[in-house]
Amino acid sequence: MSGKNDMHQNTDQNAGDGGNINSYRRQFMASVVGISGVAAVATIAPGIILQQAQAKPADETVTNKVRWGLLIDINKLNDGGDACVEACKKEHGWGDEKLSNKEQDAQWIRKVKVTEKMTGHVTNLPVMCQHCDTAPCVDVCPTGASMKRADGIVLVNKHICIGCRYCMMACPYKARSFVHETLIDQRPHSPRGKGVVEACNMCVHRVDAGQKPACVEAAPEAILFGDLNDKESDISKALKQFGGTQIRADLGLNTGVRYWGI
Amino acid sequence: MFSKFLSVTSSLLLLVFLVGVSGCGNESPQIESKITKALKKFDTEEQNTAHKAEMRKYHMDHLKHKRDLTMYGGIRTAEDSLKGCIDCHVPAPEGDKVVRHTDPEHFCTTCHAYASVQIDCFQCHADHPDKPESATATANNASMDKNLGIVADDSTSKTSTEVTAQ
Repeated sequence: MSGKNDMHQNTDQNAGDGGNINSYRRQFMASVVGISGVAAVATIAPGIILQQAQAKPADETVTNKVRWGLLIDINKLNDGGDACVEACKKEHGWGDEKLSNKEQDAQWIRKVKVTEKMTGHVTNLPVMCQHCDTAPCVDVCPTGASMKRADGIVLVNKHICIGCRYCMMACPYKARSFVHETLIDQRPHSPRGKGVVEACNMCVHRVDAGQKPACVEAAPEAILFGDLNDKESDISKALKQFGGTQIRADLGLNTGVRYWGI
Repeated sequence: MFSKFLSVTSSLLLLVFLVGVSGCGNESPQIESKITKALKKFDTEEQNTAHKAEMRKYHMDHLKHKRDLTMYGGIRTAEDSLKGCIDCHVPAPEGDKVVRHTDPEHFCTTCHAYASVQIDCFQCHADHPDKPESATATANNASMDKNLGIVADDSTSKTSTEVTAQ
């Protein structure tokens, strides 16, 4: 049944290619699916259909049909997330601010150590922007610079950010930081500069190119990246079967980043 | 009294204007020769002329339009991409030699310094391409350039980093 639905989606995509939907073509395609639909369900593996659904043409606007998310299994992160932090630093070029002090340093992603008081059990987990569905940082921004893209990625539009840092106050995850000094030699795909707020943007430039975020590539065995709206994606299946913890779930922010093992 | 003030002011304005014009007259042919040559070449001379004419007047509009498409829509095509402009017009770092927007030979700075217009882009955006070894998705860019009718020209790329003596 699910396979048949997929076939119908493919038909619609094909018909929309030329801009105008040709009614003859639509009828023809419908008849083709009608005849060969049963056979196609048996031959097309679900994995292949999944791959097709994730690629976005470069000149097409992002839509809310997808919602990108991460699932982090911290039991499989042997280093507690150090590799992820390093990969993020390298990808976006942060972490070597010369003039900033410890309180001012950029932190797109950081390792947090949690100790349970009674047992003394220590847990390390990487914490970054949780890409909330109802993001407090977006609510409070006076200029609209703090924004959520249609595909669920929360990021700062630095062109209109005035650096008031209200979003840093609002974020319950301490995910955002402010650049205190003049920067040079930024990475071409990740603009950063003095006077504006910055945070994890789920490597939006890589996602738009059909790649995975840098931290996911650094710890592929521990982090799943995928479309939370797609019931057939690996991340959705894993979350459906085993659930996933949100940090500060009591706030009801419906985060896009979920954890296992905390 | 007021008419005297007017005449003095207008003559002063005229003087400033004349000085300005004479400055322009001396400077502008030199500016042309100071501008760093682009890395890639268009297929035809017409395309090149059209690109120059359009970009000289409207590059800021192109960039501002594309910036919103990219920011909100995630559209990262080669057309009107600031990264694309920089990749072609500013030489990649060679060893210790890095051309930054604070240097007079930087493509954007040459004219902006002359016109006395501040560029804010490079407070955040990279003002030169990544070092060759750390650059990624080069193959991707090459395929996109093809669609725009731009081809890499090896004979010019060797001399593209040279700047005419000032």
